[in-house]
Parts: sequence; structure tokens; C-alpha cells
Amino acid sequence: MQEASDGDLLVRIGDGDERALAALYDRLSPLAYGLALRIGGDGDTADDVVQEAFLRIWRRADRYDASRNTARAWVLRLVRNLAIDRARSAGARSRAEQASAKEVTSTTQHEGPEDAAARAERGRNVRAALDELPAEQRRMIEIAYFEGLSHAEIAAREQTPLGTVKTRIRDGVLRLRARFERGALHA
Amino acid sequence: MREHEPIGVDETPLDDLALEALAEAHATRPPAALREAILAAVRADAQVSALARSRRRWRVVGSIAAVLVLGLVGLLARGVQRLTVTGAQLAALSHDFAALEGQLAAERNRLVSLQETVDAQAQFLRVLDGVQLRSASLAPTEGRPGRARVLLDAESGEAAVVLAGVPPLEPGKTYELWAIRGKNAPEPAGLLAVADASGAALHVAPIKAPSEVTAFAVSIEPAGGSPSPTGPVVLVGAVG
Repeated sequence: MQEASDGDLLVRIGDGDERALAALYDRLSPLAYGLALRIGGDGDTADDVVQEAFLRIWRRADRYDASRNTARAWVLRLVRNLAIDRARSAGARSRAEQASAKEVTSTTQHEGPEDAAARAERGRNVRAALDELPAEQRRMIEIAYFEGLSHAEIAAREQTPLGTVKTRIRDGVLRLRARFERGALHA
Repeated sequence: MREHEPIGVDETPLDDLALEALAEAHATRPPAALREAILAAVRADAQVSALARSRRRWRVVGSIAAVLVLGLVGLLARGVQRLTVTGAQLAALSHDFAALEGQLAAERNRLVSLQETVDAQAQFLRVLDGVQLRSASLAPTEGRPGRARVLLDAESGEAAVVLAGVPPLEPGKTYELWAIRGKNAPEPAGLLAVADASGAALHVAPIKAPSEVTAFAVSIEPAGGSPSPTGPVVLVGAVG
């Protein structure tokens, strides 16, 4: 039997299917938790953010519009926005800057060894792609996606022209896309 | 809506790809206990939603019951006209009708009370769902029992208040919530009703300029409330 897609699971969650929510959590929690940890800087904050995020997914899954975002991106945007709000109110910016990406190869409770290995492989691929980016492109991408600053705010903080900020982020993201078109992001 | 605003680039597929890639780069196994906490919260939320749906069904049942009773009374009235009825039989029928009316009124009151409880819970859950939540733990002043927690949604301007262990007041008195902005005078933020010995109350209040509120307090005021505090402060706490 073919596994349900992320979008199928969201539809079933919107119909009140608790098992679909558990399945989506099992599939996406490493991404959600890792994102919350990178933005917030500590495990307790990441716990709160991910719990709040999945409760909102439970209540708002019927608002997911497949024509606007992938299901995965919809979930991650929700996690990101919550994590940034929490980090801002807690003044946790300095902790977030110290957090770094770590490879986790151990399995989750509901993740088989093949899935864990695939996840670790994807993580390595993406980290390699990010390492290949020019430092300034990577830096501005991380500020935009992890700290939630607008292009204008990044330009002001980094004392860089607005056009340069936009170009660096866009060029960096285009390089990532080109890298993944050669090897799939999703296994 | 925020989830549709561009993050790094204006094209959504590119923007989503970047976010997914960054999440993959930082993928981290969460603690095992988090899964159970989330599923438990979802189950509890599903139960509250089921209760709200049940309230709507009860309202329908109440309406049907009312129609049946009125129909029965109509039949009885027509029957009385056709038969030769003694005064005693009429009195008995009137008594039965009054008893049915009383039962219906009691049932309606119970439904209204249930409806108010579920509405309050739904309002409370809506605040919990807020995007920019700040909270205040209110501790009792010396010698007083109880505690309270206020969750303030800075985006919608609603504050959800939960009291626990706070004694009911004698008739003619009420608890009143105050929103405090820095050194300004406290502003009224609603009355809190503790109905029984459980000492629990739930309340949702609209708050103006919520991001400026620095503390909340609860005092005892005359019934109907007061524009400024006159009675003793029983609970107070700063917004975190």
C-alpha cells in the first residue's frame, strides 16, 4: 500500500483523524524540532514550540491550501513563525546564533533504521550544499529564515545595500535549487 | 496571513525549498515524551470540540421536547373541551401542566449554563491559539488563598484568565480584574465570577494596547464592579 503523502495526511487531520496527526508528527518532527531548536537555541523552547505547532496543525489543517505551499513547507512555516515569535519575546537571539547544525543518526521511536539513514543522508547533502555557498549568501539566508528579519532590516543591520541583500539571498537559494536538481532533496 | 508571506525570496516554491533545505540541515530527533504530550493535547482538544457539538445537539433536543410538550398540552386542551369535565379534573390537569412547565424551565437553565461553560472554554481555547502569547502568574497577597494565570494574546487583544482556589464572595461583592500599564492607574478588565466552593473561574476579556500591559491584579469590589480599585487586592503578578 502506498504511503499517504504529507498533503493527504493534512486533509485527514482536517477531518479529525488523530492517527493522521501522529503519522505526520512521526514523519516531520525531526525537521520541525531541528528548526525550532536552531531558531530558539534550547530544548525546552523547542519542545514548547513544536507542541504548540502541532496543536495548531490539528486545529487549522482544514485551512491548508495545496495550491499555495507544499504540505511540508506549510508545517515548517508554522513552526518557524512560532519559534521566531518565541525567540523575540524571550530575547534569545544570542543563544540562537550559537546553535549549530548537528548530524543525528539515531532513530526516533517511530522511525525505522532505513528512514533514519535516509534522513541522515539528506541532512549531509543539504549541509554540504550550504557549505558550498559563498559565506555572505549563506549568512543572509540564515538571518532571513532563522531570525525573521525582512530584507530592509537585514540591510540596516548588516549595513549592506538592500539590492545586495536581495541578490545574495536569491542567488544562494537558486544555487541550492540547482544542487538539488542534480540530487533529490526528498529521498 | 503570515504563513503565506515571503521569507527570503518572493517566489513561493523557491522560498519553500530553502526553508525545507535548512530544516533538513538541522534535523534533530525530539525527546520521546514530546510525542505523547502532543497526542494527549490533541485528544483533549478533540473532546472539547465533541462537547461543543453535543451542546448543539442538546439545543435541538430541547427544542423538540418543547414542541412535544406544547403539542401534548394542545391535545389535552382540545380533549377537555369535548368531554364533560369536573372542576377537580381541570385542577389536576392544570397542576400537571405547571409541573411540566417547571421541568422544561429547569432543563432550559441547565442547557444555558452548559452553553455558557462551553462558550467560555471555546473563547479560552481561542486565546490559547493566539500568535503572540504573553503570560502572568498572579500570586495571592499575604494571608489570602488561591492563584491565577492570565494568558494575553498581544495580537488579538484578548486575555484569558483562570482562577483556582479562590473563595466565593458574599452577595453584593465581586472579584474584578485590573490591567496595569507601567505606572499608570489600573484599568478595569472585567468581573470574575467564582460560583462555588471549587474556587475556579474562567474568563476572557478584551484588553486595549495589550503589548503595553505590564501586570494584572484582582481585587474585591462591590457587585457590578468599580471604575477604579476600592477594595483589597487579592492577587497580583507581572506579565512575563
